Amino acid sequence: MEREANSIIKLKTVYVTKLLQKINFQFRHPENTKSIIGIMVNCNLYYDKRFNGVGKQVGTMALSNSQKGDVFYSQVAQLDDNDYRQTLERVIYPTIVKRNLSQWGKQFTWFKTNIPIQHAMMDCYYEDTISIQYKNDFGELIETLPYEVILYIQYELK
Amino acid sequence: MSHRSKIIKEAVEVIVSAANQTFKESFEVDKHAGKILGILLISDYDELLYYRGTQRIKINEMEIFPEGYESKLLMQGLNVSVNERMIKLGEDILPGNRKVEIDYTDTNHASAPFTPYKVKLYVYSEVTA
Repeated sequence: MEREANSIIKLKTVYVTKLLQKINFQFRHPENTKSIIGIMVNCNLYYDKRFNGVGKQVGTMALSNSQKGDVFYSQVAQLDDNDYRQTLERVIYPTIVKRNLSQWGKQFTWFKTNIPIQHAMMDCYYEDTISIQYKNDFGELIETLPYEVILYIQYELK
Repeated sequence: MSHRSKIIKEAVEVIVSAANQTFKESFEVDKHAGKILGILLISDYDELLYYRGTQRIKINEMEIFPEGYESKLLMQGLNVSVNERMIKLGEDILPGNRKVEIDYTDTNHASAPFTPYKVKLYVYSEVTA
């Protein structure tokens, strides 16, 4: 999660409370910045064994220029599959026996880019998709709500 | 190893004694510190820090990480080489007024029930001639 030189990080938390919720919001750029150099979308919805084998996609986030309307960034928010066990380092002997040397995880890294800021704001759109993916044996939707999606933006300062 | 002796390691501890609250701590870096090299965030209950923690970190009134920045993005485990664990700030930050502040916010999470825990922020700075 490196921080670049001469930069500032801002974030926006999106609260998803309804099934298949679609959220439009605007993100105001700080005045003392000249370009976006990093974008990251993170979600605080964690893996549950009820979700087993049904994918990791939670929703999609799209960012667009509010004046031109073109989407310059789109990202799938992913389920955190809770593989924070660090088995490789904690229990070497049982790990070898069980042949469990691989780790699942989430990518906690910035999408590096360089988007000049020409307008004061950008439009953001988040669409929840996880709520339709998970049904139990009776066809009922599994409750995933509420959860939060956090949009991180790293700016280069003027 | 001579360069190592020039690195000052200091820490401030945040005691999280109640759920869903913000705890503020601050300290001043050593007067010999010429520039801040990086920071490190650890806890005695890693799971709680991972699931429940967000924080704002300021050095010399400069917001390094904004309010709401998730603690899990700053964590690292034993599988990271000891010489690479420090979170570099991308630039040399001058200590200025030498004040380092952390506002740590604990938020309820189903995967990690609350128990009192400690969060420790290490600050690495370098002595300049």
